[in-house]
Amino acid sequence: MNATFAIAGATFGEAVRKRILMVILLVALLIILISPAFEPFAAGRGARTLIISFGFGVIQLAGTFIAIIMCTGMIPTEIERRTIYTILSKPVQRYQFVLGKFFGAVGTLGFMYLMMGIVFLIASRMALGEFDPKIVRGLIMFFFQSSLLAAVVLFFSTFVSPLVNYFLSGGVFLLGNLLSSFLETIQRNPEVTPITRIPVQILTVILPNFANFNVQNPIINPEQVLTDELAYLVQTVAYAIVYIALLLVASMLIFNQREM
Amino acid sequence: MSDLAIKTVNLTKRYSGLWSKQPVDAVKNLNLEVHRGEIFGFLGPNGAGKTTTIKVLLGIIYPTEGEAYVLGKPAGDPKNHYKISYLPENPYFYDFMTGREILTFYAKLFGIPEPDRSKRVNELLDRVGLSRAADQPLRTYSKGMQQRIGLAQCLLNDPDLLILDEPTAGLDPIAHIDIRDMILDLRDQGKTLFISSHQLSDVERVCDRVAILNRGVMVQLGRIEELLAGGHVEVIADKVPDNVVEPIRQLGGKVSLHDGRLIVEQPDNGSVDRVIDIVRAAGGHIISVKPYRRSLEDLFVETIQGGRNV
Amino acid sequence: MKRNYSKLWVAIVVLLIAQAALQLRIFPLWVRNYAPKQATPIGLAPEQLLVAVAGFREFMAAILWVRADGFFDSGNYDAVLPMLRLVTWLDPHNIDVYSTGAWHMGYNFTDESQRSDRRYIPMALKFLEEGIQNNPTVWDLYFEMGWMYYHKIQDPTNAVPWMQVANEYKDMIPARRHMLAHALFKSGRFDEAVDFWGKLFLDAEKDRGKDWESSNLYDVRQKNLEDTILDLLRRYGPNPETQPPVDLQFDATVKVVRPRVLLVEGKLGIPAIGCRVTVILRDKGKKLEYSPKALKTFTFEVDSKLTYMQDSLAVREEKFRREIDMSKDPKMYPFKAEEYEVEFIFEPRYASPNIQDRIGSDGVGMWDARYLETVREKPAPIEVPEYAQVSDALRREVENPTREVEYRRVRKVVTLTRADILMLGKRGE
Repeated sequence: MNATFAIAGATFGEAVRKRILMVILLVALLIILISPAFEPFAAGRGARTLIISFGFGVIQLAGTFIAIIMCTGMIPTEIERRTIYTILSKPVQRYQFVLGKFFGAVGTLGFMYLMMGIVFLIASRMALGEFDPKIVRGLIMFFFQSSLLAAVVLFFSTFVSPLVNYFLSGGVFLLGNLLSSFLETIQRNPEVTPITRIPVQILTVILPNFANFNVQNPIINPEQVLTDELAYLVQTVAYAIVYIALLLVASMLIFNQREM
Repeated sequence: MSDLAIKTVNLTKRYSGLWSKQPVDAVKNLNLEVHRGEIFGFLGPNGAGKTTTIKVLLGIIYPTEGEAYVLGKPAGDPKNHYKISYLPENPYFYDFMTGREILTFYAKLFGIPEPDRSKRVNELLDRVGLSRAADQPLRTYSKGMQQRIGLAQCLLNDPDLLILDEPTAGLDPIAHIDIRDMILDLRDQGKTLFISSHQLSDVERVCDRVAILNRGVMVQLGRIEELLAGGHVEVIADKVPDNVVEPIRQLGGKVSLHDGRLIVEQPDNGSVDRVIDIVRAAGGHIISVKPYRRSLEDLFVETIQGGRNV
Repeated sequence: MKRNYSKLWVAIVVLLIAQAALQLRIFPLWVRNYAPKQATPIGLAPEQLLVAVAGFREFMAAILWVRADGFFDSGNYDAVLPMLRLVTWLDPHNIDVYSTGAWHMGYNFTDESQRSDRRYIPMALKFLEEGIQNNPTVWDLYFEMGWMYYHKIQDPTNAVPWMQVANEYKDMIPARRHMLAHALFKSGRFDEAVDFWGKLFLDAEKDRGKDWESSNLYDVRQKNLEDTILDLLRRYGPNPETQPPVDLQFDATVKVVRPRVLLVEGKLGIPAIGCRVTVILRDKGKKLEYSPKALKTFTFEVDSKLTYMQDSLAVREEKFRREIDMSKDPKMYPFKAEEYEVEFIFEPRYASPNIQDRIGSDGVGMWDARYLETVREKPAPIEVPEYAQVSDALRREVENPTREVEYRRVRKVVTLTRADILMLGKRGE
């Protein structure tokens, strides 16, 4: 486990020094910080809707980009630079390497979300005069969404090139965001035949479902009454953890047999 | 088997890419035995299969056929990794870390606990002469310093076997000498060194035995003296009459005489004495007798060209 | 070196099943809480088209909504409607947009004073219905729907079911609950109105001393309960003030004074001020259906061929008279049909309390030899979304109403031709 954490630490150290990731973070922080400027656009409830929806939008977008850009190169770069040989020739199991890389990525995401979250809370406090603890809930869900995305990217990176990975994981992310609402539309429409419906249902159950984490809407529109919200959040976090574990085990399986 | 640091039996690694039609044998039927305590040179041009063999030995890739043993255990056995070390060719170390941090990082990978870890790291920094630069980030290091850090990370676990891939590639002459001295120093401590290289001048001086690999096939193997045996001796004499040419030529070798100046290239055997006798008997004046050993470079070129002809 | 990976495979299968099980549990809740449900004609979830701005759809909606408000302030109503469509599509959970949007359509797209373009009302109802389908767990829009019936359409019978649904929500603003009592009373369900005031009163009694607001609520409810009982006693108790009935001697005439300008006048024999007679001019046989089901889908196009004018005439000294000018706004009054009917109605349900004391809020105290009608009606069934937080009993009741109400009114219809109104050919009446 020591080795895993050493690798995680090195991964974190490297990621937070990566210029492109820092640029994304800084731009996001700046944009969030100026978002209270929207306040004069609309008074009262409108301002709240604007500022909170904007903040969440920026954070989700930044989190998505950071997860994809950070994780596509993680394993291929190590191979290309031969650093991985110095690591795997030590008494380090491959699964420890994969785990270490993932924990490093999650640590980096956590750091980024912490930064963006603090700035977002400050900005919304400034603009709205109140601190809405529900925002934290939304941020946590986005953090899990990005972590799941990181696991998807890492999984693909064990067997495809970075360029292919960008498109592959980008596609899975989009699909994972759309499938639920697509299925919901289909289920409400009695004209859709089972031939169309069943594949969508299967895909929704099998692919990582990123839509589960998009809980920002009721925070933006606080009148919404939610049923079993806590149960939903707990289950969704559990879902993230189980799915991440699944992807990590699959990554290890592929990575163990991989020749570098 | 335990006196062998490395043993391969009919080791074959075949790459059959998804898109390439013809499978390629990167290594073919390699039988290699490296004894404990020796410096073994593993030579060959780029693409000969040296790195492939090393990766098999480290368990990073798996052989297609045959077997490989390291320190008496199958290659890739995790327990082995406590006793071996590897320095890849032109490795990149996380350059945001300082020398001390990177060694600490690798020490953690070996599972060396504190306070041994710090002690060991300091020792090695001292040993590779980087104590003063220990707290500078690696990106400020010269190529030679980085290579020394690379060697230091190899020594963290006090390994029995070091596998060095092109350890002097891209280094300036002074750094060359540094690394070479360190290698010799390690041999004196009883370590086994397996050095792959396509650069010959350094290696020929330190290796006990070498193997030459070309296109995945081992084409030469032996003690360095044996492989280099069969040099020649050049005899130069003055005031030599024409009539000595014929008897000397009968002894073999190349002979030229011009304006009384004789140059003879003789194979390195006892016949040099006869040449000198003949010249002196004819009243000639010996200017120099110079032995030319066959260099590893020559052997290398001859072998590779020979291999090409096969 | 080949290894045995069977354990990893087992782990993968177990985890795959575990995540699928979780996903199957999450999905119904997701649909209920977070899905951007789309009861819209576009038929697509916003994500499906707006992938490019995935995380920003609520933000886009908020920006557009601010713009829409600006258009409204500057009187550019034509621009507001498409914006409403777009905003609610992007963020179907923004209650503000639905309620304000419906209010714009139902109330503000008007000409002047009382004479609104009532062709927009079915549209407003449809819009609210869509909002309800998308936000079944929020009480506001049920209430807005009820309010639209209660106040704008003046149809308390059909206001009741919506108000009843809204009333089932625990977080409803307490004072808004009073509207259900008022609607019950106006629609003639006096027993239920009294019961409900009583229930409200008892509810308020619990929190009476808590704070100023609670005590105030208690006072208001107590007064309303007492007034309602007193009104009922006065009107329907022993020796009711509503008997014998008043003879209204109702009559009304229409004269075209200039093209598209009507002079309406008539008599309503109630010796008190504050009565209003409703006058409606419409294409013959084209009654406006005030129901969310009147439109198949939400549209912001009104029927441009349809002429529909509604006005309310004050009665003074038992007479009413008004010149109605429809020449200024051909868009609102296109006069494309050949025949028109002008309908005059007086009904007591929205009359002032002093008048109701005499004739009853259901008209039992009025009589007319020629134009008296008794209306018997049930509320139209309403569609309650699956996730609405209502009891099964209420759901059954509003989806299949049983309670019939009855009230009296006077109504006279006069027919005019297009030639009459435009004064084509001969000049005259």
